[in-house]
Amino acid sequence: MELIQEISQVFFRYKGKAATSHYIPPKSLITLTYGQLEKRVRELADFLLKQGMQPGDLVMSYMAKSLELVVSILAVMLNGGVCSSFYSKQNPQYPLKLLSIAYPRFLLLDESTLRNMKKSMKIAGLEKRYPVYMKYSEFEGTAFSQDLSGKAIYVLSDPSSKNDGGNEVPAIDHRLNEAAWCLFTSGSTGVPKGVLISRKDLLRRAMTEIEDYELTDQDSLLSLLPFSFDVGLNQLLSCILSGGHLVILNSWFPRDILTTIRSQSITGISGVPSIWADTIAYPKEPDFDQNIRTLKYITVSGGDLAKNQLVRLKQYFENVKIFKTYGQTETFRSSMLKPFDFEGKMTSVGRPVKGTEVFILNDQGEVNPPNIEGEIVHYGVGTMLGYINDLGGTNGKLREIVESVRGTVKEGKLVFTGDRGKMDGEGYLYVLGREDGMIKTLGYRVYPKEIESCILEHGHVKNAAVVGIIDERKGQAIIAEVVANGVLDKPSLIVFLRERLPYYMIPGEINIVEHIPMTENGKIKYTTIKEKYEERRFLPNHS
Amino acid sequence: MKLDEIKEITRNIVIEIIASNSETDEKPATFDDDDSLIDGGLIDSISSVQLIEECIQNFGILIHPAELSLENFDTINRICQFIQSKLDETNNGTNSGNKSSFFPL
Repeated sequence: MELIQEISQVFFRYKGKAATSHYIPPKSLITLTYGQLEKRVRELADFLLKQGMQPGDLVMSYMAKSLELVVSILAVMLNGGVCSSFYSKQNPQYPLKLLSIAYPRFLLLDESTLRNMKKSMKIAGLEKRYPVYMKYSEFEGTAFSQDLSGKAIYVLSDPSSKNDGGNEVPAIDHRLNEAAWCLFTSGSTGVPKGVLISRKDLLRRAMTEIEDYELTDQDSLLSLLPFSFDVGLNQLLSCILSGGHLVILNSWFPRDILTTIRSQSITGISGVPSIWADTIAYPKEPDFDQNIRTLKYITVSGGDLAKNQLVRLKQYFENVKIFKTYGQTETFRSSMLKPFDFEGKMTSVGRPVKGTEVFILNDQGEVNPPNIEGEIVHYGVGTMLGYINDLGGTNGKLREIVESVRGTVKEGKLVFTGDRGKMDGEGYLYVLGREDGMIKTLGYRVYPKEIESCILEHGHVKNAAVVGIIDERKGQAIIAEVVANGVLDKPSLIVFLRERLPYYMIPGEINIVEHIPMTENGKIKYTTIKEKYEERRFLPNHS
Repeated sequence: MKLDEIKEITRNIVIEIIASNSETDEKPATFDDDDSLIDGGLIDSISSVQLIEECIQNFGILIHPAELSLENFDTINRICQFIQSKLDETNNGTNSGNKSSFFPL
């Protein structure tokens, strides 16, 4: 229960200080002090207790990123519950899918998601298939009102999911008692998986981040990423636990980001590659350095930028520390490249973070020597407890310690990440790509990232995605989708690639597209792109 | 172009974007002209780029990166106002500047 104690302590210690704000540039700013935040959090926590909430109950927040969401998350944590946050207004099926996987005891919604939820259930006609859904108080919901922003939080409860399981409800996952968070990953199969993170590790991760980013109660962090993404969640907790000020901005437009840095005196930003790719393309204002003078650090997480973009990022944010981090939902964070290593080891993702070990194993489970690629395997802090209600999936990902690493680690489990990588002689990790994204062409093994970073070196390219599709002759054929930066001449791009890449890595087809499909975390949706081309093979008019 | 006309086209663009991100054929959630699209999460930060591209194409306007902000794009009404002012600029011949500095970069 250390996490709960820590949260209670910051509430007490920083009462009158700004805790979190929701900023909509240029003028709209709502701020809660730690005292105000505590009042709301405790009220909601008590309210949930009165509704029958117990420690270990799973509570899902389905709402846009807002102060209400922060209140909801902390209230659930304070009650010893397991939080989960997701947001998907575009796809009405998604929330239903998650409910049928995780069976939350409570659903917390805002006005618009409540409307949406009612509608999706009606459309899906789920009353019969999933009787449990309809028990969410028949969608009446109990509104929990907050006076400051005037927005209500709707609490829907399902009294049945706690008990014997009923018809189709699985018995309660015992790991929920240790867990504090359930993060959903899309999974390569398209079926979401709920990754359970323990209370202990969530706290340890927050503390490590506070140490690495040197956070204090004087910091104001810009929150751009969703809390349903481990990096966004980690930032929320490390900011609150250090007594800092978390400023929520729901826009990735560079102008909005720069305006917020200036007007809210932002000191740190956790970001994903696409945010920085857009920012470095944004013309610097004349008083740029003065405007961002409070900014101490930024992070590149959840993917990587091409080398030339990293160089440009350092030039753009000349006096700002740049951290690169790597991890999976199942491992939280595995490694970090610290600012003093940035220039020298730019293309690596650094060394294992505190409390973790990273191994590169070959197919026989042996540790590979330096610079030899293999599967990235994680051990230590951040290791998930498992996937919720999915023992089979859990056992595939979390495995017993293999003989070859017994000298280093003794107890616990290893996470087989499915990522390919290598480690150099000094222990710096290089991520090559997903095992299942690897392209086998003409007998060679190629990673999309190797080709993408080369394409991105071209001055007239803004974004690129590379996939391999089945090809009778080559095994797999390489296709590149490229977003132009101004006018892009395809033949010149091909010449450019020929000068830099071996022949088997040159895409057989390059298509200039308007945009590349991405997830809300800014990751390329490779499956969507791949499907498009695979489907095309079966169309009659395609040779 | 009249404001009503701009509004209709803009609404359609937004509906289209929301539908294209949805993996089902169902109609997306409804929204009002003053509802916050990006801040409210109806259009996620990634798809906001798509919104801009569609506006550029449908209205034939040029948008400077410094004009991309929640202030100009967060609600249907704000987008319409912004586009109207852009179209006025074009008609009055005040839309000057180097084309290469406009979005998409």
